[in-house]
Amino acid sequence: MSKRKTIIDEGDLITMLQSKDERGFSILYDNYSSALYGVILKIVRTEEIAADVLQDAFVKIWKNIEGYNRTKGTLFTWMLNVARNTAIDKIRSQDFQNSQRNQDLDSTVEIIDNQANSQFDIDAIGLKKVVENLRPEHRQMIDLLYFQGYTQAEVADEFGIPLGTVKTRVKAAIVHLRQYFVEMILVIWFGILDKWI
Amino acid sequence: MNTKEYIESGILESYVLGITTAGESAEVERMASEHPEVEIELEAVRGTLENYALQYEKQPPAALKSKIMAAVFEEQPQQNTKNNIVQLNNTKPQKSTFSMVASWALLALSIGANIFFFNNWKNSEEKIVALESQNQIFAQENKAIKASYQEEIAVLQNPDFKVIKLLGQPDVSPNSTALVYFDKNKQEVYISALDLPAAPKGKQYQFWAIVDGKPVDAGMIAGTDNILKMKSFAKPVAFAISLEDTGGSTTEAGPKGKIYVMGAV
Repeated sequence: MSKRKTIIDEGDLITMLQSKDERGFSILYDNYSSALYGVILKIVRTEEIAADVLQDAFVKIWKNIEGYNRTKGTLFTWMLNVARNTAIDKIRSQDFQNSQRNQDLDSTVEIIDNQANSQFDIDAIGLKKVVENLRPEHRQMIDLLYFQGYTQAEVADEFGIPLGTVKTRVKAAIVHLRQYFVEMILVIWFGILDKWI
Repeated sequence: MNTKEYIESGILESYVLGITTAGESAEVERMASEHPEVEIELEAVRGTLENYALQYEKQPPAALKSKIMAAVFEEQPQQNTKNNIVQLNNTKPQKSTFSMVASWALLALSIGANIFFFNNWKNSEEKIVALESQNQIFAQENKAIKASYQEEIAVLQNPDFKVIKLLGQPDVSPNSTALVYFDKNKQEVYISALDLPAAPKGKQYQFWAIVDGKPVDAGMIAGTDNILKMKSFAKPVAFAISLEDTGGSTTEAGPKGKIYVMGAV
C-alpha cells in the first residue's frame, strides 16, 4: 500500500533504532505507519484521534526500543501491540468516553462518511472477504481480543461463556485465518500461472 | 501438561496479543525454546495475526510524518551525532547473503510446487472431461438396453402371443434353439433367445416363414442379444433359420444354405 517502503533487514533496522539513528526512525515510519494506523483507526474509529494515537504510539516505540528483545518476537508484532494498547487505553480513558457521549451531529456525519468511504477501498473489500470467511462467533472473539483489548477471561466473564469455549473459539478463528491466508497466496499464484500457461 | 495440550490451551494466542502476565510470558518463552513444535506454532500464530492486522492497512495523512518526527525527536535534539550512525555493511554480511540465497531457493521451490500442483489440476480437469463423455456413452447404451427389454417384456406379457420353439436340425446343429413369438391377430413376429453357432465370416443367419408350403424371406438376423421384430405374415405354418451368404437369399430363390433350426406353429 505504501509507496515509500524501504527494503531493509529487520536486524539492521533494529540496530539503527537502538543506536537512536534518526534515519532508522524514518524508515520505520515509512514501513509500518500504514499498518499501525489502520489498526488504530479500527479501534478508535475517527481519523483525528487515530492520528494522535499513532503519534503517541511512535513516541512509545522510540522510547522503549531498547527494551525490545528480538528473541521474543518480531518487531512488527511488538509494534502492533504497542499501537493496539495505546489505542485501547485511549478508548477506555475518561476524556474519550466523554467525547463520545458529547458527540454532536457533525462528527457523527463525519464518522459515517469515513465508513462509507472505506467501502470503496480495495483493501476494505479484501478484508470483507476474510472476515466473511470467519464464523460470526469466531470473528467476535478475534475482534474482542484484538480491537477491544479484552483478555480471554474477561470475554468469558462478560458474555457468560465458559473460558474453555472462548479458548477453543479463538484457536479455531486463528486456524481459519491461517488457512485463508495460505489459500489466498495459492489463488494469487494460480492466477499468475494461468496467464503464463 | 504435554506440548499438544499447551498449544491448545490458547496461551500462545494470548502471548502474541500481549495479554499474558509476566509469569505466563516467561513460561511461553521457555516452552518455545525447549520445544520446536511450540516454537513453530508460536510463529504461525504471530504470522497470522500480523497478516490480519495488515488487512486493515491504511495510509495515514501525509503531513503526519513530519509532525510525529518532530514530536519524537523534540526530547533529544542533540543526541543524533555522527557517532551513532551505524556502519551497516560491517554488521552481518554473511547473514544477508545467506538470506538472499535462502529466499531465492524458497521462491524456486515454491514456483516448482505451484507448477506441479497446477499441472495436477489441469490433468484432473482433462480426466473429468473424459469421464463425463464416457458417462454419456454409458447412459445412451443403458437407454437402448432398457428400451429393448421393455419391448421384450411387452411381448412376453401379451397373452395374444404364441411361443414357438425352433429346434436344431439333427444333421446340421442338433443343440441349437430359438424362440419365435407370433401374434395371430396383429400378425407380428419376434424372435429371441437365439442359441446358434457364431456365423462364420461372410455368412449371416436368415429367418424364414413357411407359408402355403413355401419358404418366404422373413428378414436377416442382425444380432443375437436382443429381441428382434421380423416381417409380418398372415398364415405361416412353420418358421426356420438358415445360414446364408451375407445379405441373404430371396423368396424366389429360397434358402440356399442349410437350415439350422425349425419349428411348426
